[in-house]
Amino acid sequence: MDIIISNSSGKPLYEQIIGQIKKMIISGELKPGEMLPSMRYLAKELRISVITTKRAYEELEREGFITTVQGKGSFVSEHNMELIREQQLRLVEQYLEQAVAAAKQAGISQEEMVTIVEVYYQEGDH
Amino acid sequence: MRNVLEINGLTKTYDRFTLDNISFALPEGSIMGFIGENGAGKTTTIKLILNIINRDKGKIKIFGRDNKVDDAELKQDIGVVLDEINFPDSLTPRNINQFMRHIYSNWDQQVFYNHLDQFALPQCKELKSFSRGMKMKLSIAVALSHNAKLLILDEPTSGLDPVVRDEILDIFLEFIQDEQHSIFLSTHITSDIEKVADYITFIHQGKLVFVEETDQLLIRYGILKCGLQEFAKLEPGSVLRYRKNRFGVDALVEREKFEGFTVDNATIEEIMLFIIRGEKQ
Amino acid sequence: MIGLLIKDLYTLKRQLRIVVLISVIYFAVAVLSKNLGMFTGIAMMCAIVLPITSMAYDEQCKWDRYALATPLSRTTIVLSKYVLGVLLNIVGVLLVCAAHLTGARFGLSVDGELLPTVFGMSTGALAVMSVILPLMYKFGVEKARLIMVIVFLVPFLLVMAASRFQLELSLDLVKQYVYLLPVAVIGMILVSLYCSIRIYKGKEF
Repeated sequence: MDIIISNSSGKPLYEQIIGQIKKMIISGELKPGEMLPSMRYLAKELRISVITTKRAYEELEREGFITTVQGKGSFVSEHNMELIREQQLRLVEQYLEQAVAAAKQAGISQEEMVTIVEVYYQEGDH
Repeated sequence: MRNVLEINGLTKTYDRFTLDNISFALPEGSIMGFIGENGAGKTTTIKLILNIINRDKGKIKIFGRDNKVDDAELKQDIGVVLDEINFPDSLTPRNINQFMRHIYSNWDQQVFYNHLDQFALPQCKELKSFSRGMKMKLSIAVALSHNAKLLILDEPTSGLDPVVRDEILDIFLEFIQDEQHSIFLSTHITSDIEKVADYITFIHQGKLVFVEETDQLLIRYGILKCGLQEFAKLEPGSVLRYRKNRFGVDALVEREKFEGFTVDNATIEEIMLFIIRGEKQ
Repeated sequence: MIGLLIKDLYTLKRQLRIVVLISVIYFAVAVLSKNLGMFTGIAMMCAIVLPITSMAYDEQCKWDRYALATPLSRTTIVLSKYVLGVLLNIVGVLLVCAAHLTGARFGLSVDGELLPTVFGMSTGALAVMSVILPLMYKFGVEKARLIMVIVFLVPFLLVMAASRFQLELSLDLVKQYVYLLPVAVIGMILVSLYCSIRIYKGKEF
């Protein structure tokens, strides 16, 4: 698993970690039941504070992506992947709805809109 | 989470300097960076924690116990690195091993020699031939060789080159892998600790400025860059500190009050400099 | 305590080597000149000088600051210097005795005064140590050395003055009370130790 921390992204470190771990869980790179690196180990490897990794793990746990067993470690939850996909899809729809509304206001065409989405999609790939 | 170090109302007065009513706590398992300019009172605080000097007022608890009452017992579990090595320079690391094992009941000579190897330090050379970096690494090796639970370090990285500083940071990160281990270190090179410290305690002219979680600090504060006219229109008191030049103003602000403005990330060093040298609005 | 003694001996290892060398040279001189007086003096001198040297080393590297951050107590730290002084003194006495006995084999006449001489020298050295250690704790090594010179100049001048006025003490009188000497020196050491600990406890590093 790769986690890349950037200082220039403007996003707080813990959010960067949350985002990347979520992505790995949703994409199936991290399988349900799989053990995550310990908070301390992750902090050491990324050379960031333990509090930051702890905050990220706590947030992931709150959202149901992982479960932490005291003294054993953190594991990817045995959740319904469909459900997560569904939730994520709803989030995407929500954002797109706003985007389309904004586009309509400015008279941006459907084709232009699709192109924009395509550009973003390709950008996110690497 | 229990606190390994608790300081309450610590006060010490010298002729020309007062450490004034300092309070903070270090939770177990974390790293706290203790920052401030030279002469801010960092070394005084550390000496008070270690009972090297006498305090005027205040209470210090280490591992939940009073540091005056259980002095010797508590120190068995504390690894200390002061800003310079305090062994006579006619000694060799091997000599140091020979007597330190009588001083710390948990001294582990195997661990000590392993650290010497790890830091590429010779066992039989006298300290006078050591560079500053080597001496500092030796101090750290000593501090790590008696199974300490708390490391207290005074400026461990000052005067060292970036490579050695990085190595030392690795050592701290390794030490903290045990959840019961904690580190309290003072420094004025804040970039060293910016990433790894869980908490930052900042003192200035003997007074406590803040104790904060590092990432909260970095999330909360930012640097606002604006023109002079724009600055004049800002609500009074909305900016924490500012520095003006002929062409504009840089200001330390709380991000949430300035949504929609260009607010850059602030480093710990910038926050420190703004508070010490910036003007109040 | 043992840790501190080992530390001091390691710190002084170069000086100790020199002392051994000097002892051999002076012993040779003594054999040639058929006089062990000089040798005895040198041995006792070393017993005084070495603890002072170790304190100078400590001061130079601010050892005490570090020592106080370890589980060592202030009392232990002070006490260890006294123990070092006494230990070196005992070694000196043994060395002198050994030298006299070996000297006898080389045909040196062992004077019957061996024991009183060594005894006097040893108590003298301990008395000097008792005076100098509290001074060192109070004023630091550099200043204490200066004060030492003054302190020892005074009795020297007194003796000079006394001899001028022909107030020579009767040797018999001294011999009569010689058994009081160890008691006096032990008393001196204890008082000195007490003072040093008091001074050291109030000291900040």
